[in-house]
Amino acid sequence: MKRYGLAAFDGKQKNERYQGTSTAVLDRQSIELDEQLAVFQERLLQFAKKHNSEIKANPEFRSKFMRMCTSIGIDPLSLFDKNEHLFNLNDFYYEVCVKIVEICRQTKDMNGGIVSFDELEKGFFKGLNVTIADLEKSIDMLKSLDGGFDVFEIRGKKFLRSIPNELTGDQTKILEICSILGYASISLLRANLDWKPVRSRAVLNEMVANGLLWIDEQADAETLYWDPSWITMK
Amino acid sequence: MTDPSTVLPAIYSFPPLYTRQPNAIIRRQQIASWIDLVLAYCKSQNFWCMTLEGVPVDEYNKSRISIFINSEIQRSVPQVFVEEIWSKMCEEGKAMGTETGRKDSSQYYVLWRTLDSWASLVLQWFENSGKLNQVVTIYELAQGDETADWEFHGMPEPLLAHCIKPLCQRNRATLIKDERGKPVATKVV
Amino acid sequence: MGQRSSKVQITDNDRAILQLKRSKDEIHKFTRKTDQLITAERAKLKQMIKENPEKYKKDVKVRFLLKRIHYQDHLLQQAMEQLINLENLVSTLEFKLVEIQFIKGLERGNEILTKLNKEFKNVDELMDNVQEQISYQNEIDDVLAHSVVGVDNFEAELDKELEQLDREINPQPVVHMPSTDKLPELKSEPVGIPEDSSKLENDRANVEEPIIAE
Repeated sequence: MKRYGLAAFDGKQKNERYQGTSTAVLDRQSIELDEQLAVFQERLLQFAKKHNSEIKANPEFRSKFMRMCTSIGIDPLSLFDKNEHLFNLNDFYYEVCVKIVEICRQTKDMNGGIVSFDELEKGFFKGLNVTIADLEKSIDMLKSLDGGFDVFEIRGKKFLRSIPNELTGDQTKILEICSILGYASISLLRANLDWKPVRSRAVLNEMVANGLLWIDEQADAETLYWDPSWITMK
Repeated sequence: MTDPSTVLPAIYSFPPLYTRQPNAIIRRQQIASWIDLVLAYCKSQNFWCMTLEGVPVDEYNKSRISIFINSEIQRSVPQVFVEEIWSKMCEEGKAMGTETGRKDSSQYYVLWRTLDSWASLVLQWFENSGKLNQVVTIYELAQGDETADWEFHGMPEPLLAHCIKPLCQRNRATLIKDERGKPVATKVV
Repeated sequence: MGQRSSKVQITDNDRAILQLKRSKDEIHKFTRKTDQLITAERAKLKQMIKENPEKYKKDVKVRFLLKRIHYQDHLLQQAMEQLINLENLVSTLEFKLVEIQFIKGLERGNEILTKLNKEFKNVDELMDNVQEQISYQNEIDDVLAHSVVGVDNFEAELDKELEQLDREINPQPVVHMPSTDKLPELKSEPVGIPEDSSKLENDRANVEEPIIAE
């Protein structure tokens, strides 16, 4: 339809031009900022290298330096370079520890406190140059805090459990079954593990109460118990 | 017609999402997930209004399927739980009953922006297009050619009137009503 | 707070424009609806022709439908024209409102200009006043000069005295006298009036002194 009045000035064309200009300006600004940030980070690294021993030796200085990094939005983790032994090497792992604890707290309601190492590495530590081995070492350190962190394996894949109560052998077996199809059920457990329904039901319900499994009552034959890590792994 | 499962994230196909979870902490998470899904779906498809059952309402009255029914995995959310989700959405200001803001409505406006946020967007349009101090009808705002590029274009008129109310409270606007008391136009200064 | 009182005002003009805009909206709605109807009916017509390829020309229904479409099309045209008219009218009205603003601006400007000019009249009076004051001051100067000395040519007297002083400060150039070098020397013995030489010495000192002083 034709446009009349003010609309006849063809807002689109004008808007496009405005948009072009504004994106150009914004691009330039963001490039400038990026450059500045890069320069600043470089300087910070140089500073860290130059005063490495001082930073290492003086814990107060170190904590202040770290605080400065976080306050300008630089993840201290990105400043670490394992190979050049910047700072005390352990600090790197401490930072990883903090991050892991944060992730566990954020996702606890969703997955009942169980996160796979794959999820951690690919989902949360992306681009930070942190390997699975680094994660394991950090979690080793966490264990000494007695915070209930634990690593266990299901079909060759490593998982981190951040809830304080220990997983029983039965629960671990159920998670094993879940890692195949995404869910477990009383009949599946009977077929695979030869468990009696009473035992299965008890363990499954306990896991639901702990938030480890979600129930699905709309399947054809019976209630299914789903492992929420299915959502991210799909 | 766009099937919700093609535009929504993987969690939409997670079968237990359609069963009300007994664990209270998980249920809170579950409801939050549903709210995110409803908002994301309506925003991506430009739906402003849904029935209590979760069927999008639009002017052409095409038959559409409810967001709470996922035929692909053969799951659907029980009506009682759907109502729980709606009431939580209203509580958080992310939905609003179409009938004068009542909670138990048969249709809901879905607010992927808050009313205040819509209000400032409308105000921005008035300022950008030099329409301050002029009478503009709600129909013009919602359907006129001059708002075609704006996010609120196509918004149902009663909802749009609601979005202007925050401006009235700040004395930036006034709503003009017709003989039956229905808001038909506004003047923003 | 005091903001409550500053409600947005709706004037009679606003109401008039609203009336106009609402009819415009109605026509806008109508054109959309008719447009959709025509598209739908055309699709239906095509469908009917497809179903009955041989003798569709004689089918009453087909003919009727086509007529209907033409009629709707005609209505749409009319509505569009009316829409254009109304939109033009709205624009004209809005422009008029702007013009009123413009006139109001002019009026206000004029008012202020007149006011300022009025103040300039006062300035004229002020200037006259100042002129008077200045001449009065001159008179006072004259009167004062007379009353101090009591003579008319006091200024001339002053000039004279100043010239005198000037002469005293800047001496006349020295007059060169003819040289005495080649004249024969006089005898050192005083000639005549020898009996009172000391008196003569004193006289000479008296004569010489002003020369030294000069």
